[in-house]
Amino acid sequence: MKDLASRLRAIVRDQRREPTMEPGETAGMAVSPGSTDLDAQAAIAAALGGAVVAAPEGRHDSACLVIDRDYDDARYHGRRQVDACRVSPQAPVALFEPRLAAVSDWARRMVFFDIETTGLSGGAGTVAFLVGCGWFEAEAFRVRQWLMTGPAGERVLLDALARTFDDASLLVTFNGRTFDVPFMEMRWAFHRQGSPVEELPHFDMLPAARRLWSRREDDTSCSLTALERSVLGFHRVGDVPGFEIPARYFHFLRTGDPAVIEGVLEHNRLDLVSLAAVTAHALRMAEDGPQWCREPSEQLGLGHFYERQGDFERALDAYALAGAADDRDLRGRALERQALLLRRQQRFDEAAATWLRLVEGAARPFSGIERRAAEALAIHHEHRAGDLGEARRYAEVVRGQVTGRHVAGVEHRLGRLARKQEKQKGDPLVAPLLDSD
Amino acid sequence: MSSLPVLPVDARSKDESLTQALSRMLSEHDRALRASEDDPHVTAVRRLDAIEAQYAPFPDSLDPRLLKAITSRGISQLYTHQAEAVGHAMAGRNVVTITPTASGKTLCYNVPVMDAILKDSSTRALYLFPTKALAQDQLAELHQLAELIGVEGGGDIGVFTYDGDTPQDARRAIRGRAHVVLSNPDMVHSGILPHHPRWAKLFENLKYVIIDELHVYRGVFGSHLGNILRRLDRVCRHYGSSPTFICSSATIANPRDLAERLTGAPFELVEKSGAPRGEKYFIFVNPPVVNEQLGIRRSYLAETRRVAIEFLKRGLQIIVFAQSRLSTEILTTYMKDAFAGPPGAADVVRGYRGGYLPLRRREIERGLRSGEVRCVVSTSALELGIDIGALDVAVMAGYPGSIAATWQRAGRAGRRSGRSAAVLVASSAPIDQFVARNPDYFFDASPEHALVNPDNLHILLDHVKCAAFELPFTFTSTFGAFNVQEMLSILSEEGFVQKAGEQWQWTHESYPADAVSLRSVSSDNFIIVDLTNGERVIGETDLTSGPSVLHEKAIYIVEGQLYQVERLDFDGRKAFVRAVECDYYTDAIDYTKVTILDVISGDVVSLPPAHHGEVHVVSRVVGFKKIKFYTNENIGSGELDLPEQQMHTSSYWLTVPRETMDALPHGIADRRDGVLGLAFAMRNVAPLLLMCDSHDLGLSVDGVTADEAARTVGTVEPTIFIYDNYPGGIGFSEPLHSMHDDLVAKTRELIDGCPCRSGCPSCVGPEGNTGPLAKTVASHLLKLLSPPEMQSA
Repeated sequence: MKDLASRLRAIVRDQRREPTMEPGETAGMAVSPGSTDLDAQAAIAAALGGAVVAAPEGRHDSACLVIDRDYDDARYHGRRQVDACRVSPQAPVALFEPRLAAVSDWARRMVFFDIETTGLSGGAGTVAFLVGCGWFEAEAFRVRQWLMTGPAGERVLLDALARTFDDASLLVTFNGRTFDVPFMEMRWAFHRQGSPVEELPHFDMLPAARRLWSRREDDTSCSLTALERSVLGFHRVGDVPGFEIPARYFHFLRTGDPAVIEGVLEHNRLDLVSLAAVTAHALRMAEDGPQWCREPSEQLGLGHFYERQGDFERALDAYALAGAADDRDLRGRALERQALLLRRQQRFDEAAATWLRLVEGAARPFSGIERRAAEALAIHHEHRAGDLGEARRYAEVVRGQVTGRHVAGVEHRLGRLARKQEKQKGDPLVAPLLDSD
Repeated sequence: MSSLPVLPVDARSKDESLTQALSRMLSEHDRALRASEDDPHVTAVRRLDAIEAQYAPFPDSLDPRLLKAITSRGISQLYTHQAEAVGHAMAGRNVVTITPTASGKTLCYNVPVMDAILKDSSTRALYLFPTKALAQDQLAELHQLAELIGVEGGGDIGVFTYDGDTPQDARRAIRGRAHVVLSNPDMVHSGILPHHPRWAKLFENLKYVIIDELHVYRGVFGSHLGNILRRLDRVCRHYGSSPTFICSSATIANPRDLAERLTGAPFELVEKSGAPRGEKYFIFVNPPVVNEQLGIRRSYLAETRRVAIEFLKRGLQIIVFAQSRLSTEILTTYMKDAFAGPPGAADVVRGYRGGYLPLRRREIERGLRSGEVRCVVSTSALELGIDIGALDVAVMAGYPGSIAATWQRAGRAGRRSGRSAAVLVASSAPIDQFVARNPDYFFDASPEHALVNPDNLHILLDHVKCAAFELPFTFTSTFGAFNVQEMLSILSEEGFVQKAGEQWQWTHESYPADAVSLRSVSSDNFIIVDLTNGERVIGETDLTSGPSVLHEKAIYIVEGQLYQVERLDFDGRKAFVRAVECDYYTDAIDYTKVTILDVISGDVVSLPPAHHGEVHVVSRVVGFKKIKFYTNENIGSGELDLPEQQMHTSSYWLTVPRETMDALPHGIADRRDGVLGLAFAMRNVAPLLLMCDSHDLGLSVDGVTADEAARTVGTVEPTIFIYDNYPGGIGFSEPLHSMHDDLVAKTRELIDGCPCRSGCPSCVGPEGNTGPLAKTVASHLLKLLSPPEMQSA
């Protein structure tokens, strides 16, 4: 009979799909970061350029480090100087986040926020082992990071974070609405504490970034590292890829090796600086208007935001600018938005002219947008302009471009147009009364 | 094909129709009794008297709004068992209530829950149902009750289901607003406990946990639930709550023991129902033998069809239970063929099984309640408490496998007043034949014990991981029967957890609940692809039985169509088959080797020579036989080279002592046949005693292979192993060992009571598989193995 330990070992190893660590790794356990040995904590803190956070009253252990880094105003992050990342209180932030329209002092103290976690599931067993915050000081952008070196550090970390949020006027994140904020709320709930972010205004930069910089309509992958390359011209060297982060942290917990975690700290810091820079870039663009944009995608994106806030003239201008793009997909999206908005405003002839720009000279086969434009023209001529011949011509164009489930709809239209034309021939007086769709 | 008479509307004419339909079976039974027939067609007729209702008043302390809401539904007093259960629950005592069908079990838990919510609106309750369908059923009833309470000024009581079908965007609202959450163990395991901080409101205020259909949680499923409840307990403690459990169970031998084993807490038992019941007939039918030599009986499916038609013709509403999805489909086809209405008319005959879409199921349930559906053919899916109204007759095609399940299915027919009937049609399986020929066993014996083993190491370890993920273990924590500190230090070797400060921190990226499936040993399976006309998936088979039915050249049968396996892609889990016409089927030859690792109990020298302990099982399909249809001749064989499967599990075993073997007046080959026949019969009787599925047990016989016997004449003591067919064991071996005498006695009854001459599929196995003397020798062996006072019998 095998003893309990060897039976357990056999079961655990049998279930394991892939090795979780290199063999023999545990043998070289140097400093245990989770230990309450303050000297060991201090040694790690020193190696990382930080300090041990004072333990709460009545406890001698802390297991939480704090690391500050200042990025001086004169320094460049890609093409952008740190000083130029400061945001003016007049910047139209509500254009991107309508909920902020009612917040008057949002620019007082913006806190940029980003976390690194031990897993993505968000279950009770995953923690934010590294929490980074960034804000502007007098002459620099300061990044403050809290690093848990053991579970006892989480309460200390959460308290310190809550104090930072107390002074904040606006929280700025990248995908924070879906990830970072709910994740931290879960951690506060775990410790049975209220959430200090519940009342704090929040600007999640990701949805705005998707509108402004996505290459394609269906492109939802809009990573911060991709943006900092394209928008800021900043290229990371030796960055730790995101999927490696939890494993590095676990390795750090086992070995206490600061070198393993240093890369993660740097990754988090760069994320925060880039977030501040990208946010500043977007807000500056919103202040300057679409004519100053470098990219048609930015013009199209601004158009969306203007339209959402009911500023239709500016939206139409922005769409018109983007509609001059060379990129067929982007140009199509801009012109379609423009035409739809014109139609909504009952400017039917201008809408038709815009659709015509999409259909004229469009290479076959049509894109979805171009097909919809031809359909819109058929409808326009049938019901608005009353030109059945033109309507039929566009319907035939559509017929040549569709397959599958769309065919029946077009055939139906063509049949109706043919009947109408017959009737019109027979009795021109009745023709206008036959309109119905 | 015939059409159906209109459904009799009033109870009196229903009773008359039923009496007419039963009269033929009753007179056949009488005739057989008078002639004392050896193998009667109708083996038992029992009449269960009507029972009057027994009432008790509502508890005095009940909230008046709740009282008004209940009375407005026409309920002016409680049945005694309801009052008793409600009393315990309101006093904060855990209670398990035995609840026959239609005894009003929902009030047993809805009353204390609603009362507590009315008295303190922060109160929360969690209901666990084994299936989503049952939760939906209860949701409707609770909504109705909550609405009535609202009318009486009870405010807004939130009742929501939370399961895999709950839309993501609704989940947040439910977490905040639900007073009552209806869920299932799978969702609690993977969706609620691992995210407990989001459910803080529920766990801080959790006053009641309801476990409906408790008897379902046995074996592997129950062992998982036991651990989920351990995890629930940890989380509740973290949030400072300590809920009271209210459980309902079908009739089993050990409801209190099961509840205590699952929850780890003491329970009150309410077992005497105060609900009324109408008169009921219970009839056993055994299809007649058509081939005496081979012991082959008329098809029980055909017999079921005949019996069911008899009732349907008289305008009665019936439910037919089949044993598998396949036989459900076959019987549905039979019944539809017999009763197809005019084209376009609504179907009066419907099938019902897992795998049907929920909408279709709801439609069938409605049809049953309205009377539009006259006959439903179902798997065990309708055995549980789904509301389908009261039907007139339940016909069971084959013994459901346990006394408890048989009563539960029979309970699907029967109203609170008026007559009903349940008919059991036995198949030729040994278990069925035993029950059909020994009706007293069924009617007089207590129902089975439901067994669980939450301390199965494999299951326990999985849940220790989940628990460590949910809340860190401290250095003094306990969890289950084994030393959890030792388990954690093994898990830390693999990087799952790590000692930090005063606790074990979860240090792994995985979400451990995802790796654990509660419902089956392994969710892995083989897909069967038919290549006859392009590629078409025609079925699937679970991983363990895959090699024995899907090896190359195997004949695979679907609804009578034969297919031959051309290629088995073991790693890709696919078998490619092609339709063939041939006059034989194949039977795999398994080689199973059991090695004893540790004897837990049983003295080697004293009698009985039975033990239980830990074993190592290696099994492999080594070849197959080709067997001709109808004649069962062995017409060829083949060898196979398939990967072996290994496991460490627990086992019961019986070693036949040398002197017993020597005492047999038979040759070596016949002795061997006798041992194999005995093993075959014991393995079929064991599930009957254990209340487990036949697949839960494995069989291996050691010391009987031909060459071994020849080499060691007279020196080998053959051993029959009946093992838990699940890695780590599920706890069947110990009780089976303690029931050893009963096992021997029941096996003896089965073999000696079987009317066949020299072995049949219903006792020691078909004669073609064993030898001509297998039955005689097995019977002789059993006599020698029985306690001395029983040997002369």
